[in-house]
Amino acid sequence: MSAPVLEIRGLHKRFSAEHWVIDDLSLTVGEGELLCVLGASGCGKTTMLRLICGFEVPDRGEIVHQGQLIARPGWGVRPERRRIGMVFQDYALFPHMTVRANVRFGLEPPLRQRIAGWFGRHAAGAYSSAAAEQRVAQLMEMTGLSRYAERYPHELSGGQLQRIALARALAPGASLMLLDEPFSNLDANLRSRLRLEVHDVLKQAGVTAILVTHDQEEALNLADRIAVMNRGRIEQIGPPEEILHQPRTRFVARFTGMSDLLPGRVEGGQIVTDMGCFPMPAGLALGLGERVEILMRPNYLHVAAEGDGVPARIERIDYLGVQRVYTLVLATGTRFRAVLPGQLERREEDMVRVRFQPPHLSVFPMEY
Amino acid sequence: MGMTEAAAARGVAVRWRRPNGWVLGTLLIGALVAVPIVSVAVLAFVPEGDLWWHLVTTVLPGYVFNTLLLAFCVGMGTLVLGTGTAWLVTMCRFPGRRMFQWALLLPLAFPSYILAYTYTDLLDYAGPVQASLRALFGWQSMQDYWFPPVRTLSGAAVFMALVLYPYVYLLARAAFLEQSAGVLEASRSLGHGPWRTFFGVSLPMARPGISVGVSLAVMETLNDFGTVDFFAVPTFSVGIYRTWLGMGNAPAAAQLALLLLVFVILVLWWERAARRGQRYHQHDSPLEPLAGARLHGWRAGVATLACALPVVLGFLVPGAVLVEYALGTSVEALGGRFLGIAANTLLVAVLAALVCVAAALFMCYGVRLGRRRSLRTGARLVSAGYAVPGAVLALGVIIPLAGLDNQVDALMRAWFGVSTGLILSGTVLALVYAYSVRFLALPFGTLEAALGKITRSMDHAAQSLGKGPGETLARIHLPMLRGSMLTAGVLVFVDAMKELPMTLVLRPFNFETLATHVYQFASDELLEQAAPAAIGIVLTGLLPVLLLSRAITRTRADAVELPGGLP
Repeated sequence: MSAPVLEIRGLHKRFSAEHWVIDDLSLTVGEGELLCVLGASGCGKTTMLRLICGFEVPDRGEIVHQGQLIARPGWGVRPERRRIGMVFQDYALFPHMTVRANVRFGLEPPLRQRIAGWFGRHAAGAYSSAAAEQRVAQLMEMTGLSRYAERYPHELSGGQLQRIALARALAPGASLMLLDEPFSNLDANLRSRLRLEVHDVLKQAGVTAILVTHDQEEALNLADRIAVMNRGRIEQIGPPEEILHQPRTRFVARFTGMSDLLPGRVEGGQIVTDMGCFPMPAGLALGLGERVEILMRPNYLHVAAEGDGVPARIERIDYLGVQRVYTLVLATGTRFRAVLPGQLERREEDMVRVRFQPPHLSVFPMEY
Repeated sequence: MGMTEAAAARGVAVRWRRPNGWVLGTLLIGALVAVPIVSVAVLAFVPEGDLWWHLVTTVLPGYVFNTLLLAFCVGMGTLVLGTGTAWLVTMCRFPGRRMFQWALLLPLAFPSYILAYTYTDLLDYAGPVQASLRALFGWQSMQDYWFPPVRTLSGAAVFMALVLYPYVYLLARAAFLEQSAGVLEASRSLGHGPWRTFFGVSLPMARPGISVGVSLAVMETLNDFGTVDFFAVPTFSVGIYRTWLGMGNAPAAAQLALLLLVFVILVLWWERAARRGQRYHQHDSPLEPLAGARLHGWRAGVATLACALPVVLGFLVPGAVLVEYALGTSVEALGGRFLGIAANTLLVAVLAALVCVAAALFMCYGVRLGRRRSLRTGARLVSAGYAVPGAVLALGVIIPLAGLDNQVDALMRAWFGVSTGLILSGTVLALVYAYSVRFLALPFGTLEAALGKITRSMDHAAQSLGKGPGETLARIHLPMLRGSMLTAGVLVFVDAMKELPMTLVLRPFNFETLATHVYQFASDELLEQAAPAAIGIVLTGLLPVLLLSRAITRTRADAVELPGGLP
C-alpha cells in the first residue's frame, strides 16, 4: 500500500457521559483506495464521517490527513479548510442554484479571497474563471449531466441528483471523498446500476474514497477493502474475499452475507460436528471439550440427491431472485440453509445428501 | 505536536470551538432585549415614598379586578367565536363557506382601539343609531329608553373579542384540519352523534391549538391601552400610565408593571404548555380529506349567519363608517400634514422591520451555529418580548435610555462644555428600540421555522466545499429564506404601524404617527377628521391578512403555521 491518505488513531467520541459512539477506532486509507465502512444503523459510522469532515471534534485520538494533523481532542481544522469532499445521504444540493452552479460552487474561492482580489492583492491560488468552467464541463461530461446543466435540482430524478452530488463533491479536486449512504434513497434497480457508475467515476478521477453503507452487497460489490464496524469500532478490515470467508468475529460473519452456524465440540485436536470432523485451525486457543460454532455459508455446501454426505430433510424452499434457498434439517435437529443448483428437482420434505466443504474454517467459541 | 504548529503557522488550523462572533452577537442582542424588563424590575425596588400603599388601598384592587375580568371576557368571547366559526368552515358545508375561510380573518386588520372609536361614534347617545331610534319611536331623552352603554368594560370586551377572535379561528381551524376523517367517522360508527363527536372527540383533540389562540388573544388584551383608555376602564395598562405620567411616580409605576408581568408570565406559561401539547396531537402522515357534512335549510342559514356576523361587525360595519367619514373630510385634511404623519409612520415601521428581521436572522443563525442548548433557550426567552405589554416596555425603555442620556450629557458638559440633550430617549431611536424588543418574536419565530426546514447537510455541503459560515449564510441560506424574511418584515411593519401604547409615550416631541394621530382626534371626539389615517392603518393591516389567507387557501393545515406568536 502506498502512503496513507488518511490515518485515524485511537479515535473516541461520545455525546453523553455513559455511551461512546466512537470507541477506540483506528483506520488507515491508502492512496486511490475505495474503502467501504459497513455497519448497522447506529454503529457510529456517520459520526465517524462527521469527525473526518470536521463537523465534530474528537474526545480522544487524532486524525491525520495527508501527513497533516487535522483533529485531536478538543481541536480541529475547520471543515471548510480540510479539502475533504462529501456526498450526503440526502444529496444536499442547493435548490436555488442550477446544476452548473451547484457543481461550480466549490470551485469559487472563498469570499475573503475575492474581497482581497478587489483591493488588488493577488490571493494565493488565484481563481481562474475559464479553468473553473472547463473543470465543470469535464465533470458534467464524466457524470453524463451535460444536458441538464441549466436545470434546477427539483426538476431532476433521484439518480441524476446523485450524480450531481458526486460531481459537485469532486469539483474542488479534494484528495479524499466521503460518501454517506449514497444509494439509500434510490430504488433497487437504479441502485445497482448507479453503484457501478459511481465506482467507475471515482476510479477514473483517481480519488481516495470512504463509502459508508449498511448494505453488505453494496460493500462487497464496490470496495477495495471493507471495514466492518460495530459499536463504534472496526471489527475487521480487509479485502471483500477475506471479510466474506475469513470473518474474525461472529458479528462480522453474521453481518456479511447469508450465514448459519454449525455447533461442534473440541475433541483431541479436532472439531466434531454433525457434518463430520474438522481439523482445528492454527492459533485458536480452545480447551478440550469446549463448545464452538463453525461458519456455514450456503456456497460451502454441496447438496446431491444421492451419494456421500449427511442425510438431510428439506424443510422449506424460498425463492431469492433466480436462486432457490433450501432450509435443511439434519436428523439431530441442526438447521441451516443452502443454495441449490437449479437442475436438482426436489420438493419440501424430500431427503438429500449434504457435504460441508469450507475453503477456510472460521471457528468461534460458543456464546451462551 | 510539531505538525500542529506547522499547520497553525500557515493559518490553516483554527480553533474550532472558539467563542465566535456569531455567538457573541447573539448574546448581545439577547442582552439588549432583556434590558427593558430588567430595568423595570430594578426600578420597582427603588423607594417610591408612600404611594405604593396608597395605591394598594385605593385603586390597585380595581386594576386587578378589571384586568382579570376583561381578559376573561375577551378570552371567552374569542374562544366561542373562533372555535365555532373554525368548526363550521372545516366540518360543514354551507353557502359561502369557501369565502368565509378567508373572510373570517378580516377583523384582524382592525386595531381594537379603532373599532372602539368607530362604534362609540356609531352607538353613543349622539350617534346615528340612537338618533334614528329616537326619531322612529318619538323618544325625547335618555330617560325614555334603555340602550346598552358602549363605553364600559363589557363594551371593551366585545370590541376586543371581535378583532382578536381570528387568532383562535386560525389555530382552531388548523387543529380541526389535522384531524383525520377516520377518527371522526370511528366516533360516529361507535354510536356517537355529531354533537357528541364534536364535544367528545374533535374539541379535545383541538384543545392545545385553541389554547394557544386564546392565550395570544389574552396577551393582546393585557397589552391594550387605546380601548381601555378611551372607555375609561382602569386596567393595569391605564394604571401604569396614570401613576407614571399622571402622578409622576416611575418607581410605583414599575411596581405595577412588575405585578402585570406576573400575569403575563402565567399566560405565557400556559401558551408554551399548550404549544408543547400541540405536538402530541399533530400528525405527519397525509390524512384523508374531510368531506364535511352538507347543511340544508335553516341549519345552512344559521351557519352562514354565524360566520357572517363576526365579519360584518368586526370589519364591514366599522369599515363602512370610516369610509363614510373619510368621504366627508375635506381635501385639505389629507394635505401636507397627513402626508407628513404617514411618512413618519413609514419611517419608524420600516426601521423597526429592518432591525427586527436583521437581528432575528443573526440570532437564528447564531443559535444554529452555536448548537448550545443554553443559547437556544436564551433566544427563546428573548422572543417572549411579544408578551410584555406596551406600557411596561415603554417604561423599561425610557429608564435606561434617559439614564444613558444624562450620563452622556454630563460627560459632554464636563469635558467640552456642550450639552447634548436627549440624544437617545427623545428620538426615533427609542421608538425603534421599543418596537424591536416587542416584535422581535415575529421574525424570530418565522425565520427559526424556515431555517429549521433547511437541512443541516446544506450547511455541511457548503462547508465541505470550502465556504465559511458567513458566506454560507449569504449564498445558501439568504436566497432560500427570502420569502420568509419578507413575510417577517411585513408582520413587524404592520404591528409597528398599529402600535399605540409605546408610541404615545416614546415618540419625539411633535412627532405624530397614524396611530397617535387617530388616538388624539378620537380622544377629542373628532373621529371624522382622523378617518383617513384610520383607513390607512386598516388597509395596511390587511397585508398580513392577505398573506395568511393565501396560505390558508393554498393547502391544508401544514401551510397555516403561525409564525412564532403572530402578530
